[in-house]
Amino acid sequence: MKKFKWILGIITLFAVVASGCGSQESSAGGTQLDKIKEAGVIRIAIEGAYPPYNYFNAQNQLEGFDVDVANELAKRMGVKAELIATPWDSIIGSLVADKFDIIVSSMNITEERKQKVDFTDPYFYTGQALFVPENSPIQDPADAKGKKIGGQIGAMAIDVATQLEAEVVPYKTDYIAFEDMALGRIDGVITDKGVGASISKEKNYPVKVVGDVLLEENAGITLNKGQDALREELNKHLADMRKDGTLAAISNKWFGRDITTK
Amino acid sequence: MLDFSLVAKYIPYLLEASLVTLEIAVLSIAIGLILGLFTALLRISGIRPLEAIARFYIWVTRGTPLLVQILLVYFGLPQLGIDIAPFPAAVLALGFNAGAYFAEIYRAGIQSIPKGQIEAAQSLGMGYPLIMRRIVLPQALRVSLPAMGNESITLLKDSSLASLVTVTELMMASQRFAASNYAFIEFYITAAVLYLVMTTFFSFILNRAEKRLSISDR
Repeated sequence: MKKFKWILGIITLFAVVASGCGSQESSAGGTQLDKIKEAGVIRIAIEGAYPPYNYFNAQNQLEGFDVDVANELAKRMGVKAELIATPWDSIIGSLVADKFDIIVSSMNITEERKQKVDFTDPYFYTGQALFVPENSPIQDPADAKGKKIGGQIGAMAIDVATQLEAEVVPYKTDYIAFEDMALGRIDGVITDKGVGASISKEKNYPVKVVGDVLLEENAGITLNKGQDALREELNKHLADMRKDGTLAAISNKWFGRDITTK
Repeated sequence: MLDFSLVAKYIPYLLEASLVTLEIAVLSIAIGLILGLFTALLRISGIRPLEAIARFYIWVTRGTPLLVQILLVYFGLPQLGIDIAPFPAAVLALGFNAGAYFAEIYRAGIQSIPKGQIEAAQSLGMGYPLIMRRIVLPQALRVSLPAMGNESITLLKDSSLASLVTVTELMMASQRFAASNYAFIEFYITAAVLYLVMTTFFSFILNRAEKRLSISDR
């Protein structure tokens, strides 16, 4: 945990310094949107380890809900999408350091993140849920107090677990946390309800969801601060995709239901 | 319970990623060897300011985590207007790190050469560069080789840290496919085997080099 805080601290430190330099550059050479249009390419970061939202398939290609949304957005902007797989713990730092233009990776819009980056309107709605073994004594999220609860580093799950006063066990990815729960080393896992359901179904883990959704989440597309033109452009296309049913169609393809409306 | 048939169709991508791992390792070892030699020569130069520079470099580099150094190169240098792509950033950071370790390995080798040899060479009228090149370094290299082998193998495995700056090397590729199949033990065992193959290859080359350089001992 300490080590993670260190890394995060350093990334944040650079992110803060970088944001200063970044904005200087953009004021000199037009907005990010102009640059994207000029290059004919939008660089989009996607984690690639969060099925079914985004992951690598057997052809070593990125696919999933986020990938379809990202490609559709690029198409509507009239530019080529360049997808860049980036580890979750360095994804915001890399955006701020201008390693890519936007992040389309199921990122929840939070006040903490808004300090460093900007978001579009939400493109889907989800929530964090507590998964426990079927025979667990935990009957209610409040029972998680003092229990060992796993979650992904840098994700909302850690905050939620902390609020429940659980003993937080951070993992690199969710499915490792689920494996540890199956081995009996931790008492529960907090993650996105869709992701958790997908993992337990795929691996036949005897787990259940306790209680309601712990935290409502609105996932947005992440971009650097001060890029209002780019944000408006993305919001316009998102609204269009919502209106003409494209967004709902993509959701139905991956989840069999529409997660893009509340 | 373990299902390795899953891994089969990903083998080509894992091999491709192994090649990236090898590239990172070989390039950063090359940088480390050159940087290390110069640092070692500064370190034993007897000229105070130059020695101090070498000492400082070794102190900082060995004393801080490699992970932080890689992040500094990738995220830090852009602040100074130097924007480096992920692959060169990883190679640079690893090479810079290896240089400090190699410097100390060279130094140990150089200092293991008896003073008498140097005095003998001086009495023959040889200058410092010539003594280094013809007498000291060839012997020092032989003494240093096992330790260099160790460091090289460590470096090959440390190249997995490049995944943090989006370089798709073996560990990154394994993590991806482990995630999309929820099968991490299978993919990580496969990665371990591939690392073992690469380190075995390194050991083999080093053994050959050691044999060649020790001809004079026979």
